[in-house]
Amino acid sequence: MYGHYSYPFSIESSGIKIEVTEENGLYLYRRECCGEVSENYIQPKNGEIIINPVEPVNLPSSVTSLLQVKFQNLVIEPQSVILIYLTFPIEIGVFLQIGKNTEIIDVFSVNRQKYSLYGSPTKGTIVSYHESDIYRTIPETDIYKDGVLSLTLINSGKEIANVSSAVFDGWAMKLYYNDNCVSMVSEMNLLHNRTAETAFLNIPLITGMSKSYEIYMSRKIPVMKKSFIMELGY
Amino acid sequence: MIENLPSVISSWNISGTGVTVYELLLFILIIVVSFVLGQIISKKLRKDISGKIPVNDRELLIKIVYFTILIVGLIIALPYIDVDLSGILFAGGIIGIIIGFAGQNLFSNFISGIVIFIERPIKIGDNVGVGDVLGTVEDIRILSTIIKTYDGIYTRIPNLTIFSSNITNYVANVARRFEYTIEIRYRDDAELAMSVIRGVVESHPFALKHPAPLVFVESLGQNGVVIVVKIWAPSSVWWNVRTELLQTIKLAVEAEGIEIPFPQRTVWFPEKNQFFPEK
Repeated sequence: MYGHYSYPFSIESSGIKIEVTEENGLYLYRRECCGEVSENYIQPKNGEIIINPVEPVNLPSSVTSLLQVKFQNLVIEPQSVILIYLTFPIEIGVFLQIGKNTEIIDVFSVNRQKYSLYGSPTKGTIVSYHESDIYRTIPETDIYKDGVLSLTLINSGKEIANVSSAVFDGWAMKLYYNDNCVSMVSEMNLLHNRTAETAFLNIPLITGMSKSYEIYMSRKIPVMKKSFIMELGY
Repeated sequence: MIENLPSVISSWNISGTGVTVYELLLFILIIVVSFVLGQIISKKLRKDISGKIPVNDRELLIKIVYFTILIVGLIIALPYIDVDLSGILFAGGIIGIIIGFAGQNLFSNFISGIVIFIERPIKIGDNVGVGDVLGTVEDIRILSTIIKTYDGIYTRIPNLTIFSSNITNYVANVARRFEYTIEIRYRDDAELAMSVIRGVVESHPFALKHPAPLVFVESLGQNGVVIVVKIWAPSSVWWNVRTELLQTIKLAVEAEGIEIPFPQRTVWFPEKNQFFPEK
């Protein structure tokens, strides 16, 4: 389903149906997913529809740009690096591209979203919440439901670290996809006093994956922040 | 001759007055410095507070600062051209007292506005309660704060009132807690009811995972078992969550055959007593 489409077209996969039909000189975009229907009229004739996974921090409404992935406690020895694989929830974005202009027209997900508080009510921040198992190899996932998050944990300190969650900034996410996998590649640098810095690498997990068109790209806002500092523990 | 020039110039008197050229030059210099200083500080102030307060208030504040500098400069400069300030100051003092009495509230509101601006207990867009007024902060001005109540009513509150009132800011923290009290019949299974309620709360995206929601039996009431539900939600959407969840909880517990009890009394009539003799 992910890819670029010239309209009119109709596709259906894993219970998701997306079609653009001509109606009275306009085009009608219609999406059905999980019993929910979304419709949009499109006026331009020579456009293209882009369907791909986007940053998972938009649904049900944009209350935060942060994603917290919670996993089983992992003890990491000092001066070591470990690569683990986690999952993250997929949100699918539908863009309309006219020449050089691209506009988001729909975001949906088959997942049920959940939010949490990272830190305390006074000093903390709201985060989109996801629980994941820890994998040592790339897990097989439903590409419309879960993506694979490669996380390299770097403990450059001299103390043992207990890690059970990672918080990422949606503005810095770099998504790639192919027919079998949706991925993000990230790093988490464990600093002193239970603080850490998380960042994304702009590389595919598997060679040959396509780069997603992300929502921040359609907003044309220059992203200055490339990492997130977890000051309230991990 | 040349080495005596400054003392000669400084001793030149402007005809008909006791003011020397030197004093006149000093007077002009002080006035010019006041103008330049006023301009520089005004520009710096405009740059620093742009976007932080409304444009009208910003310009008013800048004018007040600018003219204060000019007046101070004038007061310093006037004695150099033999203008006796005692008369002006005396008249100014009386006018000042009159204006002071008349503008006492104005000044108090102004100072309160500055304190609120520095302390920032509320911001534009916050949901707040000031005294009896509940609503959203629309604007914070130099003398007053505008609150739009939840009924859409425009309310202007003097800054002095805001400053001296208890302010409740409902969105100052990113998350807040609210609670429901749900009563079920004694014959219903309280464990099942709590399990259903937990399921409903957990399925709502904005009922926060952490801090975890609390569901427990609080008391055994007159009409039924009282269950309390405490839920944390993002402050920006808590009201929507609160209104959505209660109805969902009601439908979910009713679907399990659990009912909300009506107030009831069990009345016992003894078989034999003095008031109701057997017939």
